[in-house]
Amino acid sequence: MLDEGAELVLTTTDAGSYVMVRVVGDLDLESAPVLTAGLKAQLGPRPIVLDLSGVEFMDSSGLGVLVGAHKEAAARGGALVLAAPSPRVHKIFKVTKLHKVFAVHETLDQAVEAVVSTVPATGSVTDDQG
Amino acid sequence: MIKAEDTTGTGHAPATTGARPELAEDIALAMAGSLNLRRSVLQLLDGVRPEVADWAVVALASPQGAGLQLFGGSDVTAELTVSRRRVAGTALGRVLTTGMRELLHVAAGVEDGLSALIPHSALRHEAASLRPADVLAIGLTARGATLGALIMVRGQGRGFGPDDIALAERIASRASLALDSARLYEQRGEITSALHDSLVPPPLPDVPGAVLGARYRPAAEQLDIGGDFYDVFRAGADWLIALGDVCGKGVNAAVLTGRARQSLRTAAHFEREPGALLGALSAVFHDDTSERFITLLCLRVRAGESPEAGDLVVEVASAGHAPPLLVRADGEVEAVEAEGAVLGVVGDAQYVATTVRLAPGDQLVLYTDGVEEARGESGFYGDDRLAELLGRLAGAAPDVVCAAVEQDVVEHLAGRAHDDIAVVSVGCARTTA
Repeated sequence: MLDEGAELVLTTTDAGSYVMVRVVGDLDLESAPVLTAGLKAQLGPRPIVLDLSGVEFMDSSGLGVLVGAHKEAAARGGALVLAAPSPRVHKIFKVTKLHKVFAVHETLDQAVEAVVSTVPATGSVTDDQG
Repeated sequence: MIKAEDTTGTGHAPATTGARPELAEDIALAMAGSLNLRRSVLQLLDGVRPEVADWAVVALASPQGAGLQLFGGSDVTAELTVSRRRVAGTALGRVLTTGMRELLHVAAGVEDGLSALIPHSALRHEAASLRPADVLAIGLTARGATLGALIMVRGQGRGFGPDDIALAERIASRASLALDSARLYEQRGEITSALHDSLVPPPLPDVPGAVLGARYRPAAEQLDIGGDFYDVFRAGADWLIALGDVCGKGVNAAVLTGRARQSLRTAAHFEREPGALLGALSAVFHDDTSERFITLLCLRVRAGESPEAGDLVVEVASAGHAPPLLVRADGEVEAVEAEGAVLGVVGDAQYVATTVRLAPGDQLVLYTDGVEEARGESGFYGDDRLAELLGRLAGAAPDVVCAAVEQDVVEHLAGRAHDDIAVVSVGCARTTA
């Protein structure tokens, strides 16, 4: 079986009040478990900023990981903040309307700013309506 | 083919001087090469003869429990089945229940001795020619359960010594693991194909005033069940068309696919407006806390107000799915404005259906992301290429359009792996039915 997709690489940085996870590679059925495991290790009350600028391709399996992590993070009082999606990934958020569910920021700086400006930890979950 | 490469030049030891100690390893290796139960049994039978035994049979309890399959004998490919009851109370019955071994000697003149370990007359007849013989039966046990027995015969007074028995036990314990894996794999295949059969898209019904076409191409991995699905069914005086995608693959996705299809059909008994239908499904699937979600298009097809015009009124609602493409008979192509959240993520999602009027020759093309995301040498297939292709196909029958889309995607892939691909087209019939 030929593997067209690039391998998925996660780089995790502890920024004190939040955790930054940079994802590079294609997020598909094959690589989705890598991200699931990587995010699971970081889930907690601290927000996670997921830098998606290195993800060119994402399919529904990848989206599933983000949905699962989002639910899990919310349940623990944390948050999953998505940053800098490529146009293709952004389009998927739009079609699925998940950009209204996730906090999606155009740039990494904006995402970090949003995370830092919110009162750390408890309670401040962004309001989303259907 | 099982015989191991022998580079030491000593060749196989003659049967009379006992077997090579590494034989157990060789047999295990050969068996590990196959996940087919029958082939694994053949490897085992082929491996023990002639070094360990002159004649051998593998008895396996059938998965349903009532039967005992007997493989081998003089013809290693032979297969017989006897009732499990027949061995109850015999030495073989003890082996099968305890997993222990039984060894017995059958003298030349004795007629009945073999029946204790060989439960079939034809096989006993074969073994009888080897008398005076020693019969050794060893339980095949894996994961704490005895799945069968390896029954071996040595003839002409060449008995099983302690070393032979130790080797035979090593072979049996290694072989049990391989047989267990092969059996699990076979059962997995049965489960998968049963699920698959229940999820294969149904044949398209005749919808008055409409012409339908569809293509479904699951991802190449045979044992994986795709997450794409479509359904066309009548609800009261209306016809409903659904096309969706469950994220992920495998059994969990398949179960969710089945649930989604069934829920939609059930809900349609009470509510046929596509937006309200999706709202109900969204609420139901939100209670599911898994990370799976479903994207779904739901269409209601009805005849237009004036029968002589022969047009169709289609309401389209989308739960996070790419909108259908409206292909006019004159070649104009545009995406229907329909959007909404995927099912299962937002609890109180609202969906608003968009109404589209199809004149004779017009059609709506629904597709899953396997089309757009198909990756060829030049990159993704993409929405633009699809729209352009559909423009050229305008006016063709929906079935022809779906076939052409599948064909074009497959050509774009040029042999590369792909995700599930589903395409459904609903057109307005040119002549009033």
